[in-house]
Amino acid sequence: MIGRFAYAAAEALRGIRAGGASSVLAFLATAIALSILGLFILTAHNFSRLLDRWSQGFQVTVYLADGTGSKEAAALLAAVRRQPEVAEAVHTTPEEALKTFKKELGDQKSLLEGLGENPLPASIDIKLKPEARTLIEVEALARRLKGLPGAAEIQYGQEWISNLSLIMGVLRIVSLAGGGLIAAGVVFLVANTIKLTIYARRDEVEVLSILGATPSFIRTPFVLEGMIQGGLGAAAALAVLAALVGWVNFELARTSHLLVGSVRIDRLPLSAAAGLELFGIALGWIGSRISTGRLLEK
Amino acid sequence: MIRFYHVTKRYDNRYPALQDISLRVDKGEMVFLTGPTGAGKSTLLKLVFGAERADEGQILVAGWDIARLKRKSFPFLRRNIGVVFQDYKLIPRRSVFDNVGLALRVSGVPAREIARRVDGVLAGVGLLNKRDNLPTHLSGGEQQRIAIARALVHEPTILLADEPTGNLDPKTSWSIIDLFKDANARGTTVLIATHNREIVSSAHRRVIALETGHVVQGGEPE
Repeated sequence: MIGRFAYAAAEALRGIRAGGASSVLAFLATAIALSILGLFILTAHNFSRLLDRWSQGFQVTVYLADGTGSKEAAALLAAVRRQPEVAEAVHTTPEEALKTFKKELGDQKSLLEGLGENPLPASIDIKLKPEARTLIEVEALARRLKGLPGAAEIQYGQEWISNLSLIMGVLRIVSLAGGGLIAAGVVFLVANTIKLTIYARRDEVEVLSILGATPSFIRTPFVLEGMIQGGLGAAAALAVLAALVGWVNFELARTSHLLVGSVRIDRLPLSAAAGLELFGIALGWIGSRISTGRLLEK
Repeated sequence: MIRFYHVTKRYDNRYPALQDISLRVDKGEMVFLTGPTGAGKSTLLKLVFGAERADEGQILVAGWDIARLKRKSFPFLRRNIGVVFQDYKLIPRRSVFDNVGLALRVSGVPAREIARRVDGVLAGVGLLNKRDNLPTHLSGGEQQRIAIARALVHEPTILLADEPTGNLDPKTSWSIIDLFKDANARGTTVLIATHNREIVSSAHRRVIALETGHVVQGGEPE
């Protein structure tokens, strides 16, 4: 078994060497295609991380009706905390609200001096659980909150949530469609390269068949060749992406004084990198299986 | 060892290449298959090792019923048969040793055993000193000896040859025929398709003559 695998592997490497320009071309095209796919994944990953960070600060506010006593306010806070979407809820009295507002105004707090009465209402600020940060979940929560005794008005970033959900949805569709197209392209490419290799070595295939080689014995070196090509293409794509992330981060660090805070983009997570490598190998396997299946039938 | 019962073979539904052929080659025989070009000699050999399938009739080869044989079983039938072609069918990119060893490699024979047997059979055809050469660096006669070595290395029960001397001069042709006689003397059943009358008449072996897809002489042993 080991002897047979060693023979098939040696034949696969011989095939790649003998393939010359067509092997190099297939490798380059696979590397480029998988780089584009990797770029999709990398963009989606960084974008989703960014949205996640933004949405951390996202909150729903319940304004309390005028004249709500502290007992009713405590009951409302308890009712809010019982909602499944709520991660954290804090009660702010009108006095606390005014204090915070003054603090935010800083040097311009004198603007408030003319006010006789505190115009700010009491409120409950709610932080949502990550899984509840969708338009449907937030709207459902808002409806329930509005029905609670003591709640006068509910405020949340309706437009913002709607845009967030839309962006995530579009990103997912584009990644899937783009990834699917690229995957089909790589399969086609590997299948054609292997087909050319088999055609160039058809005399050998014929001799092997006459000598009593089983179809799997004939096919295995070609399939391994496709898997090696796919694997090498994916490895090159990962190297290109790592270099790209390094370059972008270098440029961001160089210009960080122009930006607010430090900004860095993430590398492809290890699981995604391993996935892309396996995907490359799998595409090579599928492509070579298609072409050998078709040609060895004849 | 080889039996044909009323076998017909057509290519693309045209006039049959072989029509209602019945013949028998017994175990241990060496038989010549003769006839002019287009008589059906190559087709008959291809039917024996399963490169073509008969449209009608029954073929038995070394106990295998070819018509009933499933596609996946053909490799195992072929491991009982050695085949030699006029154009040698050696792989030009591989050494003589690798070409001959391939016949054992497909059956999963271990590398050490392959080396032992390939060297043995190359010595038998007098070309052990060429084991590391590429076939393209050898003469036609030497290439045919290598092809015979490859056909014999797995000790087949049947050896088929399709015009094995077609590209060779008379002296070399006789040395090739001697190799077939040696294999036959060791018990291998040999069937050689040729239109070389001189070789056929001097070899004193049974002759099956084909003409336009019909057996016209010697279909059965006497």
